[in-house]
Amino acid sequence: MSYCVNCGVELDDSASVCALCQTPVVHPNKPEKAAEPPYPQIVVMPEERKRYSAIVASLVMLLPILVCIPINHFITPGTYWSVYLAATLILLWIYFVTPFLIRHKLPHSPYISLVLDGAITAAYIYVMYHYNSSGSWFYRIALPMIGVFVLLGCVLIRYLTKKKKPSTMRRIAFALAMVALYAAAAECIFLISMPSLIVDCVALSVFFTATVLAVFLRLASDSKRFRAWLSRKFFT
Amino acid sequence: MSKPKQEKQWADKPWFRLDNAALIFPGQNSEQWSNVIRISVDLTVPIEPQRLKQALCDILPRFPTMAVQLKKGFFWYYFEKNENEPVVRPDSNNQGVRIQYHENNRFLFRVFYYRNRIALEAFHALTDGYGCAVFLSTLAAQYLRLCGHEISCGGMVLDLSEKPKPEELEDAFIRNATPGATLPRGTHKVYHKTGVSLPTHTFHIITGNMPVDRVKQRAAARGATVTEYFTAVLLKIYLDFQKQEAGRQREVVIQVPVNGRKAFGAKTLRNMSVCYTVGADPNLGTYTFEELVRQTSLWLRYVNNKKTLGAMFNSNVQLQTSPLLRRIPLFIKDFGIRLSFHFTAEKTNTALFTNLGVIDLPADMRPFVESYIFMPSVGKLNGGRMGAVSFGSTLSVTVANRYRETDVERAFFRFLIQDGVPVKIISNFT
Repeated sequence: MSYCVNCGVELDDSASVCALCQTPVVHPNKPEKAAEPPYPQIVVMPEERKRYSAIVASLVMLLPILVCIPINHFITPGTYWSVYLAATLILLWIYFVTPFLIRHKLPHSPYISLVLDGAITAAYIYVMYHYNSSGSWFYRIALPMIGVFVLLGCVLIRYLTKKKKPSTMRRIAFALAMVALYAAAAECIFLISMPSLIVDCVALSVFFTATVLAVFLRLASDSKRFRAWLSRKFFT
Repeated sequence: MSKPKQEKQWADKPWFRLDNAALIFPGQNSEQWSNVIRISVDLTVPIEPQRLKQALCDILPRFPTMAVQLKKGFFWYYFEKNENEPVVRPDSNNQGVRIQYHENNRFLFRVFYYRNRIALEAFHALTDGYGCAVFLSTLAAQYLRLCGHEISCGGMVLDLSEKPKPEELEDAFIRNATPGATLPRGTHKVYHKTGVSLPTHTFHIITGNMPVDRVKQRAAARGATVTEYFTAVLLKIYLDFQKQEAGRQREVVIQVPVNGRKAFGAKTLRNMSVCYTVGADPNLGTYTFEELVRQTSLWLRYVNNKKTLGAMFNSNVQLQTSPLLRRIPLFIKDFGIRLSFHFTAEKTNTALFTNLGVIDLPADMRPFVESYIFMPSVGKLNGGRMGAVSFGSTLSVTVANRYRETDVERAFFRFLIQDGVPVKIISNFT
């Protein structure tokens, strides 16, 4: 029999480490033939049935498309309203239903999901652009903004899934910093792409508000002196 | 107050209602919250799958409340007789995972075998720990009979030649609820020791086997029972954990399920347990272990009586019999249960300790049984949910934990070692 030198508990003959503290088992008289483990090593995952619900949801979403496209074609020829409906439903289907249909076939990564969602959103906006507008706003504004969104989203995911979890206040501060960066990027994209377009500095006001809040939260989470000053000044 | 007429549901009716405690479980069933209880028995003989399946088929008619499938009505879930063939399968490393209603030939329990072990995992809607122990003991006894051994009936081994008795099949909550009496439910948020979650459907299962007389001696030295002693140990270690963490000090609350059968003389094989809670608030000061044992002991003895149990039953039965709630469609009830349990349930208790007690087997079966292990369902938020069971001279405490960290188990078993109780550990992660 083996004992854990760290915990003092007796261990099973098959144990190579202590289950409580992971200390390796050292037993000079351990028999050569390894004992059978107390539990089998096979992991059996339960069968998931979310795919059935996903298939039902797909059929439900397909119905309006099948009805609206013929109506559009025969009753109101020359218009494309059913395309918008179909594109919206397809977008929703890809966002919410496909994860259940093909999740097991894809590597489970939030980055891949975000990039795919970004690509799908771009495709959706392209459909709107193609059928309804002129100019080049899709390439000069929509595409860069989606790209920046995906990039900043990846940075945020990276920060939130760090092994050593930051405090809640720090996480909120970082998320706000990302919002501020996105607002700044949006403002720049607008200024560069369409200098003639008058925008009432909405993005700039978001940028300043988010920056101030992020700096405040970061300071509050990092500096004991700042926290002490706050509690001194604002006690009730 | 109108009560469901349960007597009429029995005999050979093809369907029946869920018992009062079971009503909430289908609504909460999710990947994170399986509500699956596991109990296993190690025999002295190896397990042959075909023989085990035969034993299972033999005993199922004696347990009509287990041979069921779950169906959805418009207002409530209900059980329907399951005529399918039961399944036995090799055990796996990840125990206590969610039971899905369509798998396993639609049975709500699973029977596993591994070397000389038979394990039963049952959805809590079917029965509680006691019901599982009776089912598993009867199954093990029948298996031994098929191996050619003479095993009599008695204790937790039911007589298969008898017909199921009405008192075994009743919803004992309804009969024993005290009309008009209610008790407030805990709603405040308490301390939780969380960590990094293991991948979905994998858990840390660590069992500590210890001599029952030594534990009893250590508990008796402090004037406590085994349950009170272990509950106090849990309070102590969680208070110590919280002390080490910088942050708001919250109350530590341990949930202690109690078997209502003893108080009311009930013999039901369905659910008949409710949970008491024992707490210690670190904001009131520092507790010594002796103080915690005394507080736990006094509190549990104060609340554990028929009056409190009757009032607790009634608080739950009122929800089932409320004219308004009864007429709410099931999908809204399910949503409400999920929402309610998201905001209360495990958030109002730090950990769970459930003691199944002593396994009572006939004398001629005892030489063929080595040990029992009882594991409560894995929590959604609680790291340490502990189940204890004793058979012969061994008491086994099993901790079901969804987190990568095993701090709770380590602190718990180290405390026992330091208190003079030798512990032998087995785990699914070795």
